[in-house]
Amino acid sequence: MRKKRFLLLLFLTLSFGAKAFISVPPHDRKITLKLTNVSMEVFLDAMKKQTELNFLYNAETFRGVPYISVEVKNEKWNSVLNKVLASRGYEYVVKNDIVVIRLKQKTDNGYVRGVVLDDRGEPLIGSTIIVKRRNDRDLYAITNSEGTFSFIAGGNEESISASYIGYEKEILKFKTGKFDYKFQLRSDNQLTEVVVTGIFNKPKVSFTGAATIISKEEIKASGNRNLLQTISHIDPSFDVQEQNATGSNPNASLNIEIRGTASIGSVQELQTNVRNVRNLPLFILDGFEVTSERVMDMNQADVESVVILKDASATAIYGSRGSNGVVVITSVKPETGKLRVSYTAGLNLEIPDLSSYNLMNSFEKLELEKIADLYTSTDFTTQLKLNELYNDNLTSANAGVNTDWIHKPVQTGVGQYHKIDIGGGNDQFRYILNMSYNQLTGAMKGSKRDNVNGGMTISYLLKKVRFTNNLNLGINKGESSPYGLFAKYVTMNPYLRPYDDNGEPFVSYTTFGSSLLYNPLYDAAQTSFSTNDYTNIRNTTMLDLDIMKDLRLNLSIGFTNQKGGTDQFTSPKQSSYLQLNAEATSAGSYYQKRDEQSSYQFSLTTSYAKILGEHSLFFGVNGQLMETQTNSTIVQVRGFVNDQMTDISNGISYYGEKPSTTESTVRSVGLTGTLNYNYAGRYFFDASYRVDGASSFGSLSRYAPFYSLGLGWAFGSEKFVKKIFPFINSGKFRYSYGVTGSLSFEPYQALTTYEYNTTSQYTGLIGASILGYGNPNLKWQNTIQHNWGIDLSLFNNRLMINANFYRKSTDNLLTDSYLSLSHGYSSYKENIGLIRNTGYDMQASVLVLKAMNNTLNLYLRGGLSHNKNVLVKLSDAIKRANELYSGQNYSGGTISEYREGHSVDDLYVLQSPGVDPQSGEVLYLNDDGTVTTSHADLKKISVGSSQPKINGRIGSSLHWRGLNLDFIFGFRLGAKKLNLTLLNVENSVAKNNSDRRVLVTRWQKPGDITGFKSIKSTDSTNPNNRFVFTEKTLTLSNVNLSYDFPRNWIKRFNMERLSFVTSMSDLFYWSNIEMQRGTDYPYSIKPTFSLTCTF
Amino acid sequence: MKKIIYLILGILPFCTSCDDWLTVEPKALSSKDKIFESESGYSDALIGLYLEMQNIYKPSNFMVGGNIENMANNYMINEGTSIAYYLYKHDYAKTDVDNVLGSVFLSYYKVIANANVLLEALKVQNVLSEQMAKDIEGEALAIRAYMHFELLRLWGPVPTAVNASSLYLPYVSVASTDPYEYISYDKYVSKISTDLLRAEELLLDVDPLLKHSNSEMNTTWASQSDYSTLFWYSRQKRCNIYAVKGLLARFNLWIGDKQKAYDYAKEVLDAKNLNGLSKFTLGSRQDFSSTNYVFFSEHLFGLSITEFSSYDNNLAFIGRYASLVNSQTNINAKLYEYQSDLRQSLFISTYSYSFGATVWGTKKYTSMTTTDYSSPKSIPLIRLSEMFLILIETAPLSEANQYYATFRAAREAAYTPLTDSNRNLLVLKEYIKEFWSEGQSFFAYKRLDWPVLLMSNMSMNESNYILPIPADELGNYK
Repeated sequence: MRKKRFLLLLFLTLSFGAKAFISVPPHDRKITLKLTNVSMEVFLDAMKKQTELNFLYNAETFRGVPYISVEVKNEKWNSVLNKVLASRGYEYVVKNDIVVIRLKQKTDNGYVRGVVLDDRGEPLIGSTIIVKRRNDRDLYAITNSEGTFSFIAGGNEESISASYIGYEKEILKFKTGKFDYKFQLRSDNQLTEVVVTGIFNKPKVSFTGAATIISKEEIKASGNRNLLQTISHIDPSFDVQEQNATGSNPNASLNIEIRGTASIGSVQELQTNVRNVRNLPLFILDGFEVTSERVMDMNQADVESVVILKDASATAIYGSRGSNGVVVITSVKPETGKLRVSYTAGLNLEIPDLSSYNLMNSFEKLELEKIADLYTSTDFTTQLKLNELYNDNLTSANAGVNTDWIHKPVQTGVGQYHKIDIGGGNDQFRYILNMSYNQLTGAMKGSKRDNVNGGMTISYLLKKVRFTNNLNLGINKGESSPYGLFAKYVTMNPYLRPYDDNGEPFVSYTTFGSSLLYNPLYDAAQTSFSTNDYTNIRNTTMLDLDIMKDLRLNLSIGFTNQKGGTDQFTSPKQSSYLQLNAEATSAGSYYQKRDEQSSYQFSLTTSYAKILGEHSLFFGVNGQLMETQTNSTIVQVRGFVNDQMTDISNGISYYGEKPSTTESTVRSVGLTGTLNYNYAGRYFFDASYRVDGASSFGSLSRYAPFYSLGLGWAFGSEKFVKKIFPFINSGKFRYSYGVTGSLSFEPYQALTTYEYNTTSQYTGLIGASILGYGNPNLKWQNTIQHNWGIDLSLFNNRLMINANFYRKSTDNLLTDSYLSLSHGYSSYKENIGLIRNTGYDMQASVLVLKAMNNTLNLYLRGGLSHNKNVLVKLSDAIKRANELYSGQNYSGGTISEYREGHSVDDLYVLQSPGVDPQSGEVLYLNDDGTVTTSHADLKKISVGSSQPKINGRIGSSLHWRGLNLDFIFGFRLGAKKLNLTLLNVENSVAKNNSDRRVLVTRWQKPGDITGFKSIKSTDSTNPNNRFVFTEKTLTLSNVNLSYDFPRNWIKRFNMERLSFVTSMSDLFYWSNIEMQRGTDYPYSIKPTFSLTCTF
Repeated sequence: MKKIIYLILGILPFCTSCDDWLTVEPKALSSKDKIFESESGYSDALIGLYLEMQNIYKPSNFMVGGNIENMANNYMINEGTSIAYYLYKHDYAKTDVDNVLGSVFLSYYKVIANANVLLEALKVQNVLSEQMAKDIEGEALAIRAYMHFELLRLWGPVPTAVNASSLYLPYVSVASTDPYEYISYDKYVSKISTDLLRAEELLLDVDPLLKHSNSEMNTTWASQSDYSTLFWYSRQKRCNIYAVKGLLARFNLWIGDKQKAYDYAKEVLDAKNLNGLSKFTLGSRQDFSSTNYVFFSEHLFGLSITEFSSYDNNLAFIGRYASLVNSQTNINAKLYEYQSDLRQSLFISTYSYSFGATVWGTKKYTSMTTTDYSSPKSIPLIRLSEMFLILIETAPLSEANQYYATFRAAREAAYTPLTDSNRNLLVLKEYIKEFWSEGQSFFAYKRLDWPVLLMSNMSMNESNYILPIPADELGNYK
């Protein structure tokens, strides 16, 4: 009731305020009055007339007040008023020259209330209130779940202070008659105050781990296409590795590593993408594990914050899942307020960037072919045919045919984006509903990825119980381009016409040799397709309980189900079938894969926080229970008679024998305890312990312990530091040590399993034999990590530096272990081997400019990371398997190897001192230093790691009123790269089109001194150190410009907010290595425009 | 504080049942623990051993018609760098050869490893009937011993030149990933003997062949009231009691115990059905009419095969690309000495591209395709004829000649009595003729430490007869 009236008064006050006009200071007004038996209203009216002040009151409150009589002469108006009001239980206050009359409020022995808020206006729960009293002991209180406190005032109070870990203490003077105190604590550094670890929320100030915290605003300023890329734009230690082949393919999965490779698979796996899967960080969304693909597809506008946990102190609470690093994503939380509707519409473009291609034109290509003797033969009839071919090609060239093949399969992809958010609620009930549609259209014709995301979050916030439910839906559909590999178009000869006179693509061309050259555009015009899709439903329910003071309990239950699959249809008219003269019963194929994954998780957390004077303690226990089931079925059929009938049911027979299924169920439990102690805000101690049990561990080592210890010293808060280095605002040293694990093995490898022989029977009986020895001792890989860190904030918080140095050793590496043949099986899984990663990461930000009343800000930000990876010890089985690969060479790229003492990422190539100027042959260097022209039996050498020595970011952001401009540059230094384009120039079979450098750089006649072998050579040069370069690359990863329209301007349209954002990704790429980028799928420049309005 | 304690106490019971919950059974596979929960699981694991043996004994694989016959020089070969040629020359040092021998070595131990997992499970089982348990254990032990014996015949010493202090091979009777111990010849053979004798003892109680004839048990449905499941049938294609006795005869002959070899061979030869007819009889020309080129009535132990396609057969034994062949002249001159013999009818003449000549290949395995319904489809592992040859070799001369006469008559060949001086040579020749493309010739040469291979006149010494332990078994890697 009181509150409502107050609001009403305030409203009236504001509306009267403008009319008030007072020429004499009101306190000096003296009045003379004589009134008998009048109502309060009449009295006040008389006062108003004489003082010319505005009086504001609610007449209702005077009901029942007896009539009054007043007689004064030349007295001060306020003393008159006071006299009349005080005796009748009223008082007055003067606000904006308006005299407000109200019922007298209790002061003595009344309740004093207060609220403690953080700098974002959110209540701070559990903050300490100390009330200093005259001649009495201090009074202590703790804020409750709404951030409020209250105490009964005794009249001797002097001051009230509020403090909370990670915030600056605020002291307010106690004023008699003031009952509401509002504290808004400033966090004591400018970083966000809490580290959300996904299980416990730890106070940032005493956190001893290495973590990068990315706020919603940063995501907005650097965001473009997907969240994974955005994170890597901000923090270089979240390393999205460059994949030159896949370019900007929207459907390509990304390779991500944090602090290097810690798990290896077999040598065969090393050649494929499987190794990467083993090293992916763990993604936690609102407390529950999600796949990296899901993160890629989720809407980044729905993200409140992202925390990258890197060291053991931060990740030990994830135990056996933590050693690859953990990325904790928190989705937006509903806020109070009236119903808000916000709508964003966007347009995104993918403009193919083919600037790295420098191909020959028709005449150049013909010249090359001639020089390479492609048109000469010793056989007479062949020579006649070749003459004819040359004439045809020359005629075409002369007629102006110079087909720009590489532009045929590409387009400017135009996609759209729509998002609608509805949110609001009051103190008790809040909600968000959102729905978005994001259509990405790739730079290669026909490739696209569509995402629909929907979410619904509701929260009930009661005094001791808080309930939140979050339901999410993600629907994805990806389509690959029917145009196939981009590389095919690069090799097509420019003098060939792509289409006939009717505009239909030619099927094939006659060219050198007996086989036909098929037109990739013909294949693109067929009915083949390749699609991926999935539907993901996720529900999480969270219940928070305040059991008692300082003790909280959180129960959460999560469930995820994802169904999806892959469909690939190859038309029977596809050139590959024409080439083979395939029979109708085998031409055309359909591959269908159906996947289902469902998982659930229960999590129970209790946390206890207590502050006693200078000591503050945080203690948490968490129990988790998880199950994940996956199932996938593959069906392949072939023999499609009609290429228009593309349904799988039109296939004639199974391809292979039968459909195949893979299945797995993994269960795990985890119990975690964490302790955080902070003394005087200067000395910190952090410890975590977790026991993990998982069904995939061997039965003899079912439970795994993980732990971490951390120490911190906020030296910046020491008095002597403040004295000697006054420019230090805050500074902290951190050290942590811990053991985490990774589960990089198949779920059933610990078991000895029998497999039934389903293809043959034995005298009518079925048989089964073991797949290999299970290893009941099989356990997780242990990663022991040391992390040294420093956080600094200098010069009035204008410069902030945050650096970490780490050493990470992964022991018990899970690999194939060698078994002597007498065991009947040549290998089994065991924990042998050691990988070490050492490195550092660093981030700094500078406030360069702060002017015009803080409306103009310019920040510069930078970050860099370095990682060195060494395979310290390997199992015999790995070494044996590696022997196979160390002897192999492949002209299309390097073959990865595992060698002790080297990095997983090392490039192994042959040594070549150059090209023999006399013969134009490639020279190779033997181990003993002798030079040879044959590459048989040569040993490859390591030329260094293909990972950059330094991976960095430099960015700037400029804010001026509603205008924000952000730039992010990325740079990579020191990686060894094989320039495949140059190798292709050397290897280019003159039949195919290739980089222009072929013509000018290849050896043509004796005496030519050049780095490239004879143009006539047809044998292939294997990767060698002539083509390995040290990379220096600079990219302009993102430019983002946004403008928030001024509020008073948009108010006219009943809008609360209107903003316009435009951003460009991958705008610019400069590298000292000139090579073709995006060989299978081109890179693209990605501009995005979007407009958001909120009502 | 009390509340916290209650809370922790509340969580505890929830944790004790974790172990059960954390044990997850795969669905597409069956874990060791799960398969041995039922009777059928034991049967499946036993049959698995035979299916694994097919990898070694398929007709064109190493141990039947493949390289083991090249090592005996029974086939002709083009000079070159093929693995077959190196084996023909007994040059075992090449890496490729080492790989091939290594995979044979591995295959044997794979059967052994599977047998050991089964035998370990049998020790603690409580789901099988006594009869079933005895039979499965008997067959598994016999197979384990058989495989070890084969390893000894290949990688072990010439039996007449054993070095008592040498450690030859591991005899594996546990399933473990720890390194296995290499043991001396004496220990090794005594372990084979122990396993075979134990198998004999077990099977003597339960083998249906003791009561029933082969023809009664070689049906494709349960036709005998006392054996109601298919498990008990087709005994000739299982390591039955007579297979064990035959193996004991072969094994004792190898280790030089002629008396025991004689006894076991005789026991098999004399084995009678209840109606008084012999359990196993020598084959005849009539068998050919039902595409039975392998003399199935002689099989003490044959390995069942579902499919040896005509395509495989054409590449191996009889087509234009066949390589497991020899010239008609060579076979006639060196083996049959131009005398007529039933076994000559088992050859087919065909022109070979790779040799540029007309050659002879065996047709023993031509009738093993899925569509050939009358063929027994049994790969011969131990035959009655070998029992005859053991008796001929070990019996007193006059008795031996009786067996020899019977045997020669059955093979439609002329009979000339053996003498003490030519007995070994003639028996050896019978081995080559009898077991052409069955993988036994090399062992006959090796057992007798014969100085020359008859089909090629290549001279042999002890080292040619002993295979080197494969590199992957020794495992020295950088």
